[in-house]
Amino acid sequence: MSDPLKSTAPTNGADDSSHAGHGLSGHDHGPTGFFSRFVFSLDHKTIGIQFLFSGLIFWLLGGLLALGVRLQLGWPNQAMPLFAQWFPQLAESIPSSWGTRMSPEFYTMLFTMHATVMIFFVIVPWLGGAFGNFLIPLMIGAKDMAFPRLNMLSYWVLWPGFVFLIASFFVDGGAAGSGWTAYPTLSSAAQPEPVADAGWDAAKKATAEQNAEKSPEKKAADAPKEPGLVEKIMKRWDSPAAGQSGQGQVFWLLALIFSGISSMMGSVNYITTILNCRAPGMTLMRMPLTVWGMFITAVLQALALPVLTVALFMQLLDKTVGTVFFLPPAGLSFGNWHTGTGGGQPLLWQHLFWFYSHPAVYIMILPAMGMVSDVLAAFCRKPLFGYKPMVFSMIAIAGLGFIVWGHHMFQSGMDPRMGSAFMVATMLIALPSAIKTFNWLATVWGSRIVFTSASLNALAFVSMFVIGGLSGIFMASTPVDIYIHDTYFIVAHIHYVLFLSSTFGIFAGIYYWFPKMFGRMMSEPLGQIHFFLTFILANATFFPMHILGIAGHPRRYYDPTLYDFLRPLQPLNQFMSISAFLMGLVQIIFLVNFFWSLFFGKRSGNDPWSANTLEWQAPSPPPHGNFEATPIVYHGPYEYGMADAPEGRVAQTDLPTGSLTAHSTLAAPSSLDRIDS
Amino acid sequence: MHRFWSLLFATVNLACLGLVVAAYFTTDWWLPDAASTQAVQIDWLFYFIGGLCAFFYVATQLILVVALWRFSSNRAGLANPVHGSHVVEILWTVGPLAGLVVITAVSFPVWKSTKYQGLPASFPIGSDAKASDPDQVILVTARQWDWHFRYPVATIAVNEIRHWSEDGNPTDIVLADELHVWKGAQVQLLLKTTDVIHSFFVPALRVKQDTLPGKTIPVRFEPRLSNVRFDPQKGTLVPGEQPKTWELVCAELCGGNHYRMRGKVFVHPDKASFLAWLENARQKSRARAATETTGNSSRSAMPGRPAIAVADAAPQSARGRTSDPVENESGSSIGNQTAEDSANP
Repeated sequence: MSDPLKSTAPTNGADDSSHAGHGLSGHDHGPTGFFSRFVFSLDHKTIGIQFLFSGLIFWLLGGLLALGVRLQLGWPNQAMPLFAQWFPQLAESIPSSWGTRMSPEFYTMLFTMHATVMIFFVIVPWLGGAFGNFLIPLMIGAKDMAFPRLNMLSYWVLWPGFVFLIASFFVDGGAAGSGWTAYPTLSSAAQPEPVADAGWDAAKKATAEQNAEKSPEKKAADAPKEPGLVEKIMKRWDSPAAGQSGQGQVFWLLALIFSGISSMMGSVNYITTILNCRAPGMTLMRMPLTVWGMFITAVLQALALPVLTVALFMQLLDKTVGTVFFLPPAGLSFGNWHTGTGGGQPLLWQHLFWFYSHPAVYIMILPAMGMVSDVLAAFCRKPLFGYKPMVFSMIAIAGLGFIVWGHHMFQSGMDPRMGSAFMVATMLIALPSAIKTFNWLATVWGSRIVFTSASLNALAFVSMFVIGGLSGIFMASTPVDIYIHDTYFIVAHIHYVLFLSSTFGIFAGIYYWFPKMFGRMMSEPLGQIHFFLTFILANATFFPMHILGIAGHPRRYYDPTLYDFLRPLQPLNQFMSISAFLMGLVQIIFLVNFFWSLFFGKRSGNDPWSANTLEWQAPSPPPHGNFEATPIVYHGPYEYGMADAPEGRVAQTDLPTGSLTAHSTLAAPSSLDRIDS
Repeated sequence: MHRFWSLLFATVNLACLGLVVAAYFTTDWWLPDAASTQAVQIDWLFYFIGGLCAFFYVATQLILVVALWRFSSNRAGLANPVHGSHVVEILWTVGPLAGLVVITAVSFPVWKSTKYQGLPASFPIGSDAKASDPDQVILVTARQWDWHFRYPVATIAVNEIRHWSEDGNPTDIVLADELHVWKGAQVQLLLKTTDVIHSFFVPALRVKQDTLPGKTIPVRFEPRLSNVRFDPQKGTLVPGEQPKTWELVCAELCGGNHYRMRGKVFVHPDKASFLAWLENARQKSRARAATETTGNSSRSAMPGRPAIAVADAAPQSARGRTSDPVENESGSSIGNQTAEDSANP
């Protein structure tokens, strides 16, 4: 590329002061040490890939937890096959499992941790952490993030979260089991004093005395060990409400606090980078929709996450130091045992939690929407139908996203008149989603679709998002929600949005940007087989859940066959479980493809897809500092199908010529004057 | 080959639609009996929204499938770079908006008539002045993991309900896991919980309401079908017009045994049948209380309250409801357990 402005273009991207301590050498080469290059790296690409791999590991964990749930639902009360045979000891020592069967408590732990892992440790780190980090500087033509050190910290702060999350499986009582929503008072009920159980103590004493009579020398060994300080403290966290609401819940809260802090650091960084570090000519309305999605998500996170973090701290204080934020004035009775008086409100948690977690639903879909838009335009070889309506729809979703949280609480005991107000807002938020869908369809119409793994996953996103979106309208209607709230209809809805939409968007993103990340192509045949099977099996797993919901099947049930009206649904439950296991197996194809291509994939050039956006101008993988020369942007991101341009497309950096500007959506860059000043 | 993908999208979507149709025609795979007046309204809304959604679903998937069929890269030439159209954008904004406005407009009256009743009239907006006084008031207390239904023996005056919901009367009949109402009654439940959040959900009645620690939440409904009647000769319940079991479930996670908070709903054909049953239950309860004063009294989980007569379903106890052996023990003393079996054909 011969760019006359190249030599005169000033450095952009992260400003030099923040770059000063960045790396060992000057500004041309990156750091050379192993640790500074691959572990404690300040490079946004390395950090993005770290997020990608962490997410991948937790994706497998979350998937296995889900299969455990499906095992129990398909064949309630059966011994866990294979697992119990292969690891009899382990199966029996699982916290609160019933021999080789899983106990109801174990089951509640499975679905709680499945949701927690998938939401807070897979989808959010993948979309925001991996793709956000990797793509934002590349797509806006920056050298790196505005705050590389903060960026590094945003990844490493996640690690204490990982540790607490994994450790919680091994604490007394097992990992958290009060649902990913952790509603008090099931989650928060705490004992103000350690319970002195006279009967238990007497029995222990009697046993000890008996032993002492038998063999005095064994007395020392059998006498109850004086618990250490840590054990003593952790014992105080035990909950009267449920075994896993004790130590496991405290660990859960800590894990989420760290994950939240990580996301907050990331979001501040993304907002600053996108506002300040764009390449010359990259106006806001020339940004690819992926960047718009990331930007709006970052704003959502920055505004909503502090609320969740505060709520998590409040629950943590309730559990550990005896505050009563979520304990009602009269306290609670668990059998003959009373918590003592409170002064708080259990409903407060639901308001605070959903004030974050409803926007979080958009945090988990907006970046995927942006990525899918980019992938669709590139493989349809056609401009996105309505760029500005897409941007404004995303902004509208983000704005309305803050006033719809109450629709999770229609049946919660909140004043029903507030439910009416939240219903109106919720109905409105369906509109921008519909506008986006129609724009995607109009983009595909009249295009020349190149069917690749990436484009197929993106098309599936559009198709499945329609189902996920439409099923949401049922529960937006407050009276219908009376019936379907907390049934499998909701489970179907969330999986159509988060699995069949977000995760397919993530697949599309991985297939599409893998060459940029690693300089190699993923295998197309394997990718298409993986798509084909996953698409069918995911629908087979999740679509029948709508039927279950319509028949009234409640969520989070360990054994539905206890109920007359649920027993006829058991064939559907088994069908879904079998589909889920097969779908789990099919993901091996993806893993094989991913890791094989990492080392043996065909080398990709800079621009294997003939795409227009800036990241394809950089080498694959991009070196430290990303671009050989600062790119200058003259065009919007989606100028495909241009009859008089080479390859029928105009890259964002192509020089405007007389004939080309006629097709350009925007005139010559106004920000060029910024360069001269 | 490129048309393969179009066919895949078409097949998967057709299979999804096919499953919905098949479920509609399969027994017990669809909405249960609409046993209350609000169930009829909610079902109507469900079908209305379902129809609108089906239209948009079929339309969008059809466009996508046709597009995949027609516009693959095998076609010669470049894509038509057409993009952006104010007219089209306005059309597909206004169209769905109209649909959403209509859905909201038809949803609101149903929501108002089901949930606004029983609200304090202090707040002028929305309190339903037309709401009639309840014919039957029942205090429902949830705990880990069962439901207690407290039936007043005499009618409670409307202005006494609040006071009664706090302390109850010593003469009240308390039953575990059994809700008895009669057809056509304006039933007012008062939901309480002693420990965590539960959710009172009767699919057949389309009633769902979370219980909230520290709060008493009113729930109104009117049964329109009856499934049992009390036979004074036998002294038991026998199957009614709709020989169905209507189950009460907990819909909000409340701990490990969340799935075992099973209750049953008995809708009598008229008030007379209900009163006859209540009188029978009262006598049983009194007889039981008399024997219990001589026996051990260690079981009272709720001190200072009347003895709890448990007429629990036999299969449930058989399924290992062993956590509270006393319940099983006392369950045998009540007469309508046999009726329960006969109500289950």
